[in-house]
Parts: sequence; C-alpha cells; structure tokens
Amino acid sequence: MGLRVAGAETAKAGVLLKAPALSFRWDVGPENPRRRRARKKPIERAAVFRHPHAMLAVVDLKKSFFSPDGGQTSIINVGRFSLAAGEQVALRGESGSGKTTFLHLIAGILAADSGQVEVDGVKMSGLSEPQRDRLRADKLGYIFQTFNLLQGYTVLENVIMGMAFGPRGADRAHARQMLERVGLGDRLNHFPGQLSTGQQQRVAVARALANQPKLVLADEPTGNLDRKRSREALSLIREVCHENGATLLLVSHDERVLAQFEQVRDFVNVNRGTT
Amino acid sequence: MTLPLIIYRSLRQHALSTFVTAASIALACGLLMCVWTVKVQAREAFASTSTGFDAVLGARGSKLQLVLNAIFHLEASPGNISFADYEAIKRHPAVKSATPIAVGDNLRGYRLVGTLPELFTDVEYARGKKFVIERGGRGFQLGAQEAVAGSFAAQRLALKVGDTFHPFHGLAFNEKDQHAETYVVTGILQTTNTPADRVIWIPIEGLQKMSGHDARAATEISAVLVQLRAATAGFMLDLMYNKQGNRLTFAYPVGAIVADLFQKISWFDRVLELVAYLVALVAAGSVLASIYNSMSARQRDLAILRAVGARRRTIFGAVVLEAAVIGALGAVAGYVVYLGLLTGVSSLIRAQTGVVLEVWRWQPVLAACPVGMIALCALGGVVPAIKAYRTPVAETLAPIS
Repeated sequence: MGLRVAGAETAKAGVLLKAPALSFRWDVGPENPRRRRARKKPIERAAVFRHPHAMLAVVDLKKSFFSPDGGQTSIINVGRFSLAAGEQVALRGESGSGKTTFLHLIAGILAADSGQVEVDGVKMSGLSEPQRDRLRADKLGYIFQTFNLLQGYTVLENVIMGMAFGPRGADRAHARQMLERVGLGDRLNHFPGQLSTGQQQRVAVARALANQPKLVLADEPTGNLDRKRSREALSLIREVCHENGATLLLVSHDERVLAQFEQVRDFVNVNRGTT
Repeated sequence: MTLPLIIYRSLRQHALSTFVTAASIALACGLLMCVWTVKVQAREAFASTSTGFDAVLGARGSKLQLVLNAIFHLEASPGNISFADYEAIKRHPAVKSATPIAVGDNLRGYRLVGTLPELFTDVEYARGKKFVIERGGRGFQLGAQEAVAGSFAAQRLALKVGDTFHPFHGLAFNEKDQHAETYVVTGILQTTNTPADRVIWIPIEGLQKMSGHDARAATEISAVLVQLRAATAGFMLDLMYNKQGNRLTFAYPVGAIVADLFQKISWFDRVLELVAYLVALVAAGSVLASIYNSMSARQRDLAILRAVGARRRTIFGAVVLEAAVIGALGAVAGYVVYLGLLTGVSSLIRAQTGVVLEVWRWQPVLAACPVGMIALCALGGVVPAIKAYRTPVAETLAPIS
C-alpha cells in the first residue's frame, strides 16, 4: 500500500486521451517499484497543488450473501481501492468473481455489510438512501452489460432519464447532443428494440455520460458486441469519459477489452475475500 | 417533465389494461353521477311540478294517489266526486282558484284530461308560469269536441293543429275500446317540462258525457286542483274535509305529500347508491389489481430508473400518480357515460311521468364524484407503489456475478 499518483502512464492512451488530472490515491494493488519511482515527482506536486482526495476510495468493503443451505458466502472483501479523478482503470475478473457486485456497492444500489465507499469525497455509508440516490444521480454514470435500456422509452427519452434526476435535470437539448455525439442523432425517436445491439450500447453510453458524471462504472460494456463494435464502443466510452474529465472503472474478463487499457488490475488481487 | 414522462410511458406500455381499467372507472363514475343526479333532480322536479297547486280535492282515499293522479297524471283516480263539491270549494273564501279535472280516456296511451278553458288562461301551473299555446293554435271551447295537446304527447302522436282523433276508453290503451266521438286538435301547448306535456286536454263535459260512460259520470269529476289564498287556510280545509267529513279527501300540502312519496321510495335510492358505490370500489380495486399485476413487468424499468438516480419516493409517487391518472382518464370518460345514461333515463322518466331532468345542469356531484374517484384510485395505487418502493435494484437489474 502506498501513496501514488494517477496520470503518469497515460502516454499509451492514444490520440483520444490526454493526460488526466493528477491526484494522489491509496491503492492496495501489487506495487511496481519502477512505476513508483517514475511517479515520485508528481506525487509531491499533486500533494501540494492538486485535488487532495481520490474520486473513488474503497476501504474494508465487505459483502456476503446467504447461500441456499443457510450459510453465508463472502463475495466482496476489498481492503483498499481507489481511483483518482480522470483515471481510467480496467479490472480483470472471471465471471462470478463478484465484479458486478463490487460495482453495485460502489454505485450504492447494493448495501455493503461493512466498510466504506467514498465518491468524490462523499462517504456513502454516512448517507441516507435518498442521499445515496442523489449522489448516484449527481456523480455516477453506470453502463450495464445488458445495457438496461428502458424498452418503452424512445432513445432520446432514455438519455433524458439518465440526467433527469441529477442537477442538470431533463435537458432535452443536451440529451440530443449526446446522442448525436455517439452517432445516433437520426435515431432519437426509435425505441431500443428497433436498434441493433451496437446502437443500443451507444444509447447506454450516452445515457451514462449525459449527466457528465465524475465517476463512470462500466460492467462488461462490450460483452454483447463483436470485436469491431467492441473496440469502437470502448473507444467511445473512453473518449467521452476523457472529454468530460470523468473517472472510468471498467470490469471485464475479455482480454481484448483489457488490452486497450493502460491500467489493468486483477480483481482477484483487489478482492481478497471471495470464499 | 420526468414524472409525467414516466407515467405516460407506463400507461402506453400497459395500454390495454389502462383502457380496461379506465373504462370500468368511467362506468362507475358515470353510474354514480347518474344515480345521484336522478335522485336530486327527480325530487326537485316533482317538487317544483307540484308548486303550482296547493291542494287536491278528490274522492275518499289515498292522498298520494290523489296527487299522483290529478297533478302527475299517474295512477288511477281513487274515485269521482260530484260537480257540486267542486262548486262548493270554488266558493270557499280561502280558495283562490279551483280547477276541476276528469280522467278516464286516452289517446294511444296518452291521457285525455277534461278541464275548463280557464286552466290555460287564468291558472299558473307553477309559480309565475302559465300555459302558452303555440302560435297558430288556440284553446278549446266548452261544449265543442276540441282538444289541446301537451307538447310531448303531440310530438309522440304526431298531432298538429287541425288533426282529428277518436279517444279510447280507459287509462290504458286498448284498440278495441275506441269511442265514436271525433275531436279536433285546436292547439299545442308549449313545453312546460311538467306532466301536463304528456296530456291531451279536452273540455270537461266531453269526458263526462263521452259515449259509453256511465250516465252518473255526467255530473261527476275526478278531482279539483286547488290554489289557496293563504297557506294557513289549507289546514282549515284539511280539518273540514279529512277530519270532520268522511266522503272526500283534501290532499294538502301537495309538496309534503310528494316529499313523503320520495321518503317512501328512498330505500330504492339507497340501493342504487350502494350499487354505485360498490361499482366504484370494484373499479378502484381493479386499478390496484391492474397495476399490481403488472408490477413484475415494471420492476425492471423501475430498477433501471432507481439505478440512474430516481429516488424511492419518486418511484412511489409515479405509481400512485399513475393510478390517479387512470382514475382521471376514467372520470373524464365517466362524463360521457353519465351524459349517455342520464339522457336515456331522462327520456324514460319524461315518457313515463312528464317530468324532465336537465341533462346539462351543473351539480356539485359532477365535481365531487370524479375527484373522489381519482382519490380512491390513487389510494388503490398505494399498494403497488409500496411494492415498487421496495424493488431491490441490484437483484432486479442483473444476476450477481
């Protein structure tokens, strides 16, 4: 565990990515001495000049479920995990490893047994449920593996609903812009069922990012796409996150997806408590 | 915009159940408003119809029967009284006007009522209202075989000035019992919205001396419509005819007797009201069942909305409001049901009694019933709203991995 700064390794991010904002964070991942040395200078700068807290900080987070035989199965046991503002990190994990549960706990749509999740300096555990809802609406964007689009709503309405509960409110013009941004400007009044899988995926991206969230959670966002579409979708997510200065935490088991990220961590190392 | 959009989309997604539920509410609402309106307006109409005359003098018997027969032209006459009785009460100083009537014949089911021409010239059939004969017509003359038709009877029998007809014997129409006399229609009365509209008026001696009638009927009448100079005189006459005499009945005050009639049939009102309330309850229950049953299908959408930041109370409110909107849609359609039902009931009542209900008249129940129905539906929405409120977001959205 050590104090580190995000942003130094963004050179590989490609033309779409600029260096994210620098900040320090606490991390429990395996340490790389060379990286540590490379970041030494920025640490000091960040500590002095940059945002003093992480965009996401998870401490001693635990979640278990009752199994059919009456016993308890621990799914999540994360000691420390954090992301800096603007950082884009992929978590590698097999199916059933608890990745989705971890994201649900971060998003506050699942209550933890114990531990702390802090988003943009706000401690989730200290919040009432309506406050957690508000935090989610204000600061989080969630891209689901199955998209979870509202089937009875048009594409435009889906995106509007993504921002309706946040500070921005139902901004129709901005929702339209977001859809144009993801190449669906001509599908505003279509229903999700009338779109291809790739197009639905883009709607989900537009919805998750419409509210300009500070933290974007992506759960196997390209799981239902072919290789080409997957690459395009991922580029889009990263690009829009970068444009908005959003922190991105993506979980996937797909090595092709993971290969596109500069920072990839194994969830099995982050989550030490699956039993 | 958010809440209306959620409600609109939910209603669209469940259009069939929305339609069926709203239709049942419309039926309940329309039925409730109609029952209430008929009750209130019928009572008022019957009361206002009887305001023109203070009392009815007739044969010994039921006061109610006497009033129904003489003023509302319903029921059979309790019997005849002599013309001398009419002359006696007419001369009484407390009596402002006395109009004899005789019944016993009909024209294809519409009563022929014998009376004096003064009924159309001197007597107010309701406060401040006198009969008016339409242009081109005139009243009948005593001794002539002439008739003045009420507007409703004229319309139904397609009578116009100059037409002739042969009366039928009795109050019920029987084609075989036709009298030989020929009457000429000399005038049609303007609509009064009273039972007089469904009557054909002829000179009183025409009925008394109609061929085939008992010879004694020539000096008898069915009843006398009485207007008093002062209300207190009625009690004096009541004492004189009802307590001291035993041959005649003085039905006074007419308004109280009509009110007594409604009191007697109020159980029927209550049964109708009870049925309407039950229908309303069932309709509200159908809102509950309809939304509750579709909750499984809705839960994913609700979980998605929660995931994008919708508060629990927003979801709760959306479901309750949706139920209220279904109630409102039903209530609006309920006005159409109400108008349809009331038009039908009104024409039936008019055909049977001559009393006209005002279909388009505003009444407090027309606001209270829809508002109550909407509130009841919103209440019905609370149960599914609680289920929606409790929707487990994570479990509903995706299986735990």
